[in-house]
Amino acid sequence: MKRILVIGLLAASTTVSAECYMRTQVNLSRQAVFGQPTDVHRIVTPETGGYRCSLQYRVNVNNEWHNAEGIGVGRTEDAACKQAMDLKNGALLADITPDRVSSNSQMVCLDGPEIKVRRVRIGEQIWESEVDVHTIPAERPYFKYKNTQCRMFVERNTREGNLYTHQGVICRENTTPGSKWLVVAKY
Amino acid sequence: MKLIVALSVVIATGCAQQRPWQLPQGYNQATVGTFAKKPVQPQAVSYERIESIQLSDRDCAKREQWITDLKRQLEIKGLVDVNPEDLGENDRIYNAAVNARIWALRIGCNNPDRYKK
Repeated sequence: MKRILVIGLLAASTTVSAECYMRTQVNLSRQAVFGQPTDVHRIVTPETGGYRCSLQYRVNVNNEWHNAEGIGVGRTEDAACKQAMDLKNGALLADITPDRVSSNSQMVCLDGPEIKVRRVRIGEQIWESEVDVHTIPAERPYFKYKNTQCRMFVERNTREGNLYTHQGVICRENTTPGSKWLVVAKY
Repeated sequence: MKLIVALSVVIATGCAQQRPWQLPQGYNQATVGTFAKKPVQPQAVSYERIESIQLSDRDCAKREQWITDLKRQLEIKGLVDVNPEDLGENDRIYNAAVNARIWALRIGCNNPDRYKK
């Protein structure tokens, strides 16, 4: 019986894992943000008089992707989440380090998949924030290709002691909020 | 007169002993006499030629033809939808040069205000 319990606890600890961060005081509305929050994970809970919506998303600040959280309250779920999506109600989430922890720190654990910038291949389905925005400002805006929202990206790799910068194109798979993107080109 | 006859005999003997045509390597005996043509492998445009292509909004009127021709070069070299990290150095730069022009046409021609300052 004890062995079953131990095995069960071990299995639970490996399957339920979430990345936890400190909620910072950095207000997103005052930062150099490119585009809109993306790769949004939504958590709605009932509250007195309505709902509380917590949106965990990725946001590009100064050409770097960050985890962030926005919180909103409203009479309906949509109203609460619309408020949460407003950058005024968003704050960056930072890695937990000893120097950041204090008595009034807020810890936020992300329920969704951990998203990080990584190497991608043509044809892959990815989260938008798994690729960097383009280094050239004129190449950053979204555009339409085959009636789909797309954007360019850059990827920096090292190979055989050399640094390569590739650029490419990703396009949204569909118009559903939170949909993934397809790597259409990389060169 | 004797000299002419002698020369004629020599020439006729030489023609009789001439070796039959040697078929070039790779030709099938059965196709002899049918004027079979050796298939010509298409050649992609050189990298230098690709690099010399300077596109502007004036080329948007023939955008689809440009894209078709550029994609054809990738097809000839077997570089369609190939990840650049899987390529050797020469193919990688060729692939990048062609694709950069294809996407400049696709993006620039559909978004004329994109690159305006």
